[in-house]
Amino acid sequence: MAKTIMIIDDSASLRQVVAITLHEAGYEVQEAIDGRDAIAKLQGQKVHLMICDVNMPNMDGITFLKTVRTLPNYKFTPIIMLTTEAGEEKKKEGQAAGARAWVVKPFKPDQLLVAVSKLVLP
Amino acid sequence: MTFPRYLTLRAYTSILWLVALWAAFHFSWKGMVFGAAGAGVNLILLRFLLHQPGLGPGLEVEAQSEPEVPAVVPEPAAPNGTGHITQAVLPLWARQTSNACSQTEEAITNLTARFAGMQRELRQAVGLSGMEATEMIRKVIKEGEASLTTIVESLEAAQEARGSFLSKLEALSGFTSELTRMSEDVGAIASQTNLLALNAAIEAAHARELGKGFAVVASEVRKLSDRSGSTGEQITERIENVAKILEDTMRESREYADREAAIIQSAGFTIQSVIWSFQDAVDSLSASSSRMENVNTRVQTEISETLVHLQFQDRVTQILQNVIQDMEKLSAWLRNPSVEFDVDRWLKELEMTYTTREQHAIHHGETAENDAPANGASESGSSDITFF
Repeated sequence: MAKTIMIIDDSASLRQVVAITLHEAGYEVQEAIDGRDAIAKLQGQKVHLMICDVNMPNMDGITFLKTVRTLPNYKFTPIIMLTTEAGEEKKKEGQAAGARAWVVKPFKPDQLLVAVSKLVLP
Repeated sequence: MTFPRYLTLRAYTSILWLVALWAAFHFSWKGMVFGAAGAGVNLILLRFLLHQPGLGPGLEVEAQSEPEVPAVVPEPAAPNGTGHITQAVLPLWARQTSNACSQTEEAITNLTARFAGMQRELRQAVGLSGMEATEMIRKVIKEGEASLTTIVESLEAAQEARGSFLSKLEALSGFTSELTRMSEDVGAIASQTNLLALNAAIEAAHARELGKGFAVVASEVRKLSDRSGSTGEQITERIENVAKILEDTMRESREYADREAAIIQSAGFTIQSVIWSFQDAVDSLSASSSRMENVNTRVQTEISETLVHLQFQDRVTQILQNVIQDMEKLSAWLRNPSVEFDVDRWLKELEMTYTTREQHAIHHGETAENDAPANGASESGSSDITFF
């Protein structure tokens, strides 16, 4: 059965590029436009990995990380941060909030897939 | 940019005042009046220049205070002043920029979808006409060649069997000649017997009454020899008929075998020729398919790279969003300038909103080395990935 991955990004084009990359690799894809939308969509869903932007309206990526870690079903779900933020401080903030990897945009699809396959839950 | 201009104006005004004082000392009241008037005109010119659009309230305040002091006091919003203009213009700029962002986002989303669709279709096309299909045709041809060769071999085996049958017929034909000779012998024996019976009848006649019985025997022997001769002739006749039929059959069989051999040979050549034609076609198809596959792979790689490059839109949106937010912030401050305008603080707060390296570089007056796809992931060949 295909693994489900949720993409959380306010940029529709970026979501599309990530979704195409993941679809081609055989993953099921769920999309959310920001952290708040993602929290709503996660209810009653089984998601094996999340790819999340940092700067988003309504609920940013770091707040989303902190929030999602309070949900019992998603306490340990791997989350990859995909962002234009390249600063070390932000990375540390993301790590402290529970991110498993930090990918700086623009990304190479095959390298994102390597990160996904490394982290996705069995 | 405005600082040197500001300095020039200040220096120009100061020099004019000095000229006026020097004239007062050396040329009495006429020179003093002339110098003061010149300085006054220049002061008016200075104020006029500082109120021009593009120089802004910050510069105006700089002109009123010392340049090294960053904290400035805003000019009260005058009905026709710069503050009023910026209050009206800034929100417009922000909205226009935001609209441009949305339009770019929509266009890039559509472009991404189309490129992805092209990539998918190309992949499917390769699946249909690729090397696998050519190999499949090659395999079918090989199997066809094997089957047809088997049929030709069966026909050749049948031809050999017919040859063996002909040999047997020829042997049979040899027997008929023998039989003819034997029937001729029978005829000769019958003729001799007839002659003997005739002599016996003559001798019986010489014996008169005593030879009567012997004459009857001789007569019967003669009849038998006649019948034997007649039967021998019939046998010869039949054997000749059989031999003729055999000869005809053999001739026809030979002709048929020759025609059959020619047909089988022709069939073999035709089959080989068709197989070669198919193989040529497959080779040509394979070469064309291989070329297509190479082109396809190149195009797919290009599309893949394009999809990476299209990520520039996300970075541009981030940068423009920062500009829009700052415009809105400035517009809000201009509407309500209750707090002091602290330039340093403003710039620090602006810097904190940056997400990309190039934004920080530009902020510090350095040359921006873009992380955008053209200079980033695609060229260096690796994305910036950190695992925790």
